[in-house]
Amino acid sequence: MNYDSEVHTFMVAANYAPLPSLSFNVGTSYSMAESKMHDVSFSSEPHTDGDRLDAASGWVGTYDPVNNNHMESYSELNYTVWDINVGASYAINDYVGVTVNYLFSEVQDDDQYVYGDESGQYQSLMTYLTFRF
Amino acid sequence: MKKYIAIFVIFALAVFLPSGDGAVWADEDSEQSIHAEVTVGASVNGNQDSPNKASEYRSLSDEDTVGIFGGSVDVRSGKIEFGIEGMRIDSQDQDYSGHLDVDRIFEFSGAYQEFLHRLGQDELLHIQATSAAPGMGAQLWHSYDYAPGFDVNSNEAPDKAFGVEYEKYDATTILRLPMLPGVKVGMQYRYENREGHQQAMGMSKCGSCHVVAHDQDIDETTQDFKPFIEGNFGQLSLEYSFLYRTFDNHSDRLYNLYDPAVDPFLGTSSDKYGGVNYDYRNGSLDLSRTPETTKTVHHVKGKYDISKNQSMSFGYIHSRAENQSAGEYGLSADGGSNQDLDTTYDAGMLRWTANLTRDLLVSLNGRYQTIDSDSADIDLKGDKNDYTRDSDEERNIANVRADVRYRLLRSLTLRGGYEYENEDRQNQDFIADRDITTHKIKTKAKWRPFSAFSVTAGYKFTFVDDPYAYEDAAYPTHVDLGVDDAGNCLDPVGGPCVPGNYSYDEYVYGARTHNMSTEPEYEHEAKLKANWSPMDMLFVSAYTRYVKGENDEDLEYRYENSSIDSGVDITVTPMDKLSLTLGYNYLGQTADSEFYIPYYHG
Repeated sequence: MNYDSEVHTFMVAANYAPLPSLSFNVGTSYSMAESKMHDVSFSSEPHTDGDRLDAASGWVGTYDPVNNNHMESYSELNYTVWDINVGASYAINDYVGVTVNYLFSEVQDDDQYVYGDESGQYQSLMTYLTFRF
Repeated sequence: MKKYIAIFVIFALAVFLPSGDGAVWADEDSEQSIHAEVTVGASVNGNQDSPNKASEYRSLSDEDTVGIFGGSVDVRSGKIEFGIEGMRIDSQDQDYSGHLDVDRIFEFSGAYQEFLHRLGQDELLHIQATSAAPGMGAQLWHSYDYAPGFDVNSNEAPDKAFGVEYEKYDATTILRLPMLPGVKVGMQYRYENREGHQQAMGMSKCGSCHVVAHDQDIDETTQDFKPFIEGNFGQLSLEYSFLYRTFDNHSDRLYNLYDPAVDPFLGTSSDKYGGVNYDYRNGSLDLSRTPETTKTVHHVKGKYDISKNQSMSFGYIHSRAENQSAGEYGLSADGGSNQDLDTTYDAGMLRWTANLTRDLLVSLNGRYQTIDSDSADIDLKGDKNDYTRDSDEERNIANVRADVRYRLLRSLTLRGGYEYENEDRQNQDFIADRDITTHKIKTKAKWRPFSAFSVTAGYKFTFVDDPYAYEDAAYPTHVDLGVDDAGNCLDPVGGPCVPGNYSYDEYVYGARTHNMSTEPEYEHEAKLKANWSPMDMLFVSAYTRYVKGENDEDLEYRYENSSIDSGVDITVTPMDKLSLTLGYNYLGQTADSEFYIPYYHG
């Protein structure tokens, strides 16, 4: 049985300060992750003397290991994650500054794992004033 | 709305009124200064679909609009420095810190933080024999016609937004008395409280079917008290610390009504389990209870500079962890081992480092560790079935290491090392070999042919004799049992071959004969890293790491793994006011092993 996993992550960030009192920043990251099992295969096993693995028994092969041949699909992971952060800061004067930050985060879950579909999106816009004394 | 009107008024006053120097509140002379900041604002938030990953550590929920409050104060007055800062976003997202320094005689620093960690809910749909609907937790597949007193539905877990709120506080106080130069005494304190709910699993016998999920209350507190003293006496420096840690569990107790399939044949001639296990007929039983513990650690370490080019370092640790909940397990109170589930750890370390020449550095290390841990008495139905489980923690570990660093050229430095470790486990209930010896050889070279470029390459080889392996963990192959891939009987393999020769129990349990391991016996690790800065505005860094390990020591089922981890970062600064960073990372892992599953044993 093989278990493979791969993660690619790309990142871009920039800072720009055109004026002493004004600055901008932006950061973005994008990740792609994938994991899966391969080659899980069980043979049917009738050699248990009419016991529970045997299709000829009263258990009609309920517990034949061949029933587990799709179990590898339960371990598959396939998701992408976006994180974007954009911000600006401006000093109105020596005593007051204003800051704006925007955050965007998105998870796209293409293969539900044990916790179900965890696709989701989060956004936050934060604005605040800073008074300096 | 009043809140936002107030914010607007404050903003207007701040922008338009302070038009001159008259509003300066800070005294900026060299002896005294006071700086303060006040932050007010708002945060608007939105969630779509599941918040568990997209906002895993963010507490604000959909369409929340909250006020943000923060600030800082820095005061310097003569030999006194004082500062505090903090930000409050909501009741579950707060961060504060502060410090005080009085002429370096007295120092205090502390921080307080609150945050939420969202947790998922396992829907148990990946367990093939369960039929739970999404969001319903687990629901048992069986109907239990023979056990009408067992209410399956009592064990359903609600669809719940699981999560734990963390509250952390830590502080360090240091005192340096002028009459004791070189001596520092202090105290560290850490407090962590976790409150919330998480999913807890209960399993009766076999995880393919008999799993239920519950909503578990979390209310746990960990506290550390750590006084310490440090002294520097010329060539000799010494440190001693004592840690006292408590873990208190105030969580509501969680109970599980165990599946009757644990003991389905009680009272009949087929009572194959002998009435050993507890189940629903014993009423609700404790589930997923973390025991309360205390831990003490004495730590002494020091360094002696033998000469300008040689030094010795040493250290000793004595630690004891005590399970304070052992008495709650309903075991005998006669002083037997089942009343103590404690672990003692001792470790000693010695290191010699010397610059034998200007270009040659040699370091020798030795470390010895022992772990003693109490055995646990397992109390099953009927005294004849009780047994004692020796601790897997008990072991002695000896480790020696030699490292050499040699500067061959001005631009080329070579490093090499050898490490030996012997792990002698005291108990061997399930492992194939309790004596595990590890050898590691490592080399590294750093070359910097010119100032704008440097490259570092390293290689490490690890050999383990023999790796940790479960004894008789896997059942034999069908070929071992004399059956080919088509289910036909092969020629006799060590005995007669008759289809249907094996009973179910023999096939699944009685015939387990193969060891299994997921630890490598041989492992190779290669690393390469390069930095390049052809001009002031450009910096490039790239690295790669490759690991390959395999194990076929006494294993019918071979184990192999490999991983590669690579990345590149580029930083560009085309002008003073602009900087750009680009990055890419790749991680790939492959594990290859036979897979054994205990599919059912009735």
